[in-house]
Amino acid sequence: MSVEERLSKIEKRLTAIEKQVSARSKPHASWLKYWLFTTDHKQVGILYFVTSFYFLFIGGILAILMRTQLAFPLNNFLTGATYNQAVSMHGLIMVLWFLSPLGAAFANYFIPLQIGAKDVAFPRFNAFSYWMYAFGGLVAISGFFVPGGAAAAGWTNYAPLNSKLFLPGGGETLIGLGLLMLWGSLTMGGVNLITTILVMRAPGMTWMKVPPFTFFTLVTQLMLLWSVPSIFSGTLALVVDRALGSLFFVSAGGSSVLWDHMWWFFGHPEVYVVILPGLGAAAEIFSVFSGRPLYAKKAIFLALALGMLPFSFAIYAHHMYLTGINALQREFITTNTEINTLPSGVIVLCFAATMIGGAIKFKTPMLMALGSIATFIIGGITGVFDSSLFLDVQLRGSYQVVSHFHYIMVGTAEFALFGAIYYWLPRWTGRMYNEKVGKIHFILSFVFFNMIFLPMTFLFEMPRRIYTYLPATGWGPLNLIETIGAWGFGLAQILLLYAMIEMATFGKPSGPNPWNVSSPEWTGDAEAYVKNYPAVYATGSVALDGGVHSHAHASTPLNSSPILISAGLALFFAGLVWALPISLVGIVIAFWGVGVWFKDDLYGLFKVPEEPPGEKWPLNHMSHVRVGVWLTLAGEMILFTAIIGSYLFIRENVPIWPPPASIHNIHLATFNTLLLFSSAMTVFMALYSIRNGNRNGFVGWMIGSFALGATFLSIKMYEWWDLLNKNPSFNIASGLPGSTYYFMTGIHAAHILVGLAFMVFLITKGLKGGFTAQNHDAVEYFALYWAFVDIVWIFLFPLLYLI
Amino acid sequence: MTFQSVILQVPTTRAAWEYVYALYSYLGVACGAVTFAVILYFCFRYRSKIETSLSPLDPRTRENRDSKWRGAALIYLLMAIVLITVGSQSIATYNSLSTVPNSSNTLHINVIAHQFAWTFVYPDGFTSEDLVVVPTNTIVVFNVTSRDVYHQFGLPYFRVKTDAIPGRVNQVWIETTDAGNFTVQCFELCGVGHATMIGVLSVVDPATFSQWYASTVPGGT
Repeated sequence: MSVEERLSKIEKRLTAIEKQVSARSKPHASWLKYWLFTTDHKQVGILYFVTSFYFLFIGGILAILMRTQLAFPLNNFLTGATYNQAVSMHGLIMVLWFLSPLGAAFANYFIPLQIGAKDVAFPRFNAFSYWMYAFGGLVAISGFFVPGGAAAAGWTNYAPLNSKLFLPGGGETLIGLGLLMLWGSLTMGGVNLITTILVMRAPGMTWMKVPPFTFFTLVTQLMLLWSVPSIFSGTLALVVDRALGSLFFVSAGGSSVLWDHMWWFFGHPEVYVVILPGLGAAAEIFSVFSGRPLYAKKAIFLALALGMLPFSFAIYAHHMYLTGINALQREFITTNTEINTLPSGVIVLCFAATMIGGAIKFKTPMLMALGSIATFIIGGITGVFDSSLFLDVQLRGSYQVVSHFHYIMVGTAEFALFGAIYYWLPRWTGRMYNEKVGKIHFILSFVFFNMIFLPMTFLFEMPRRIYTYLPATGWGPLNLIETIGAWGFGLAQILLLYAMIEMATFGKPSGPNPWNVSSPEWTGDAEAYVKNYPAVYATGSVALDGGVHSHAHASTPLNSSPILISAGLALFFAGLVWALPISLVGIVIAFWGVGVWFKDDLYGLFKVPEEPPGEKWPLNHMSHVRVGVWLTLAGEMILFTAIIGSYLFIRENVPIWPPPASIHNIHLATFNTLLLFSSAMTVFMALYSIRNGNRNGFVGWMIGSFALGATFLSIKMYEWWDLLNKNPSFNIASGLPGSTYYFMTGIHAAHILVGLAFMVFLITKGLKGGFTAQNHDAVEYFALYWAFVDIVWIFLFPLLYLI
Repeated sequence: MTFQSVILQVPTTRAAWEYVYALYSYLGVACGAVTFAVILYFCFRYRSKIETSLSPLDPRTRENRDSKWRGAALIYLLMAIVLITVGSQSIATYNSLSTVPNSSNTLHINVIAHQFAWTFVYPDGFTSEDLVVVPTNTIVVFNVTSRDVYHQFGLPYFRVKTDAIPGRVNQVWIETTDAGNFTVQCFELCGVGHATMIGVLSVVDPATFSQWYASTVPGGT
């Protein structure tokens, strides 16, 4: 083949690729395809928004059902079984599938606009995290349609009630599987948004200049990234318990307390995750409608980053005062919890002080923000009661607690997010709401809200989650008031629906900037915002460009793999409970999606607009991919810390454990360990080769690594097979030694499997000449991942085999 | 199902709890009222009026705001003082009540929670379902555990509670005063019968108690 022929061949290939790329970025391919395959942050934001309201509707109906049952003593509207399903699913849906995704909807849509980025850092992962969230929710609520009904162990799913022994129905398994998908979604979404905010800010947008909503979201997502791995491992163990019969949460030895730790290490930061996006929006609303810059923005940011972020983790055990944790721990937790009131105090004070010297316009968003702060104060004060070690002895598990966290979650978070809807929706749709409708909506919601939850504060002798009570308790009248309030609150949301439909379809045109805001998501000009800061925050002096309503023209290409993988995974999970053939279809669809993803990467079909250099301090020399990889590894590190920590917890609580070398073949395991470590060496040789531009060396070392990794995995499988044959009494369901061994080696093996799949991709791309000395980022990141997987084994090997 | 007769003496645990609760309530309501008043005042004072509103860029507004820093710091200090007061009170009271008082008049009872009832085991091995009889003016120590799932043993009238966890034993104590019947209830979701997992703590005078206790069969039910 002559050089010309070769060149023309390459040229043809290039034109073909370009055609495919342009075909994928074509907007309005068809309406449905466009929405299903979009990866543009604005569309993904709208998808989040609409889906979260779908879940709000379900969760709201469940709440109304419960309140109707409790209206009168000895009411027969629901049974104990149906009430438990309603109470459990209401909590899970509202917290995890409505409130935080609604915050994520605004974050997706507005953060790139606020910081002047073209899109989020990883658009495909963004769409992926949306679809995992949506399908995970469908898997979870499909529990209502299986025999035995949906999950019924409370939103906290306390062990061992969550086990198959006590809740044999499929609903509890389905919620576990749905949660696993959600945890995946939250992790990807977190990595994505954090990376975007860390390294994709417009030039000049330093930390103290980023808009408050962006900063609040950053803190939110950091909390999620660090708290989700703990409950991810817990949920996985729960699902394995239910599906394969392991004994993590059913045997004695303190395993219920293990679940407590895993749940609340996630569950407490989750409360802040729920309220912070709303408060961030409220910060902007306070400033805009008072006509003043946000008061002491620095103090707020520092309180969040140095106060709330670390303390939200340090106090999780205040949910466990009564489990018998030791005295020192209890005092430590009480003190930390009360200290954590202080950052919240900073926020309230600074919001109030923002109004000083202003000219406050009481439009609906401002009223909602004020309502949010008002309920935050009440909820905060009732929360101080619960933080008290001594008072909690009586308040725990009573309706006082229900009142407290609804003041925070419904009051603070939801009112602020309602405010955000009235404030920001005109930016999406170009249409305004009717101010009268908005104000009536606020007044009705606020009155009815307090009617539900204020009486509950005084019902501290009434236990939570009971489906009925006796007339002699005297709780009847207050409960009736609450129920009337609940119906009123529910019906008042029809006005919100009306206002949203009005803004979406027939409202008056809003113009490009109805509130006269200088914040860049309205003006479309992040750099102008930076230059003008902070003198003009909320005045109309910034020139507006006309092109702000641009969400109809996606710049990021369409891609089908996120929805395919998520749908496949959802079918696979649902099939485990419903019918196995569905699982097989799911596997095929998921692998198809993975194939599309790999193919796109192999040929460079998925092109994201290049980001111009901007503000990145303190990560000046890191690309966004590198930041994303490190964040993911940080999440993985916490995952394994949680797993290893749980293992140590179990070892401490189980007195009898088989001595070392009594069960495992230590010689084989040592040999296997050496194999894995040598594969780390060969991977680094491959990296070294490609850094020097040696492609053949790269492919050769990579194939060697693949062979070593595959051998490790084969030996591992042989080890399992051998163990099960020689020692049938040592299996995953035989006791905690077996459960922990198979669970931990299984998770590690899954990581090896993912690594092997990645190596196949790297080798294929390397053979095609896809990597050069300058362009081999994927190899660098893979080497990091592989090193991480090896390091994990350094911990697992001695723990599982030698001690 | 309330049986409280006329109570003359308040049990120690209840009295202490009521005291701390009142302390939190007064301070909480006061702090809340002040904050609400300030916010409402700002809302009124700085409402949008053409005549009085300063331009946001007017230097006078900035000065005005800067001098408020001191006020904010003061409020903050007050908040910290309130929190330290209530927090230390709470911990101190908890610690003073966390050890069982020494008394010759102490009765130990094992409580085994299970779906959906309470089993009480007396020192002589006598067991009773959902009903526990104890004498007046006695320290009663409950050693609480569970046979199946997570429960929570609560005596709302005495303001004490503890988790009933399988494989663990948690201790709570009360000091009975006057005779009467009191609710024992589960405070942690434990399954379909959670709402009906109710027992009775019956406090009777010592003579009746010893008579009754003597009549029970050790190890029987």
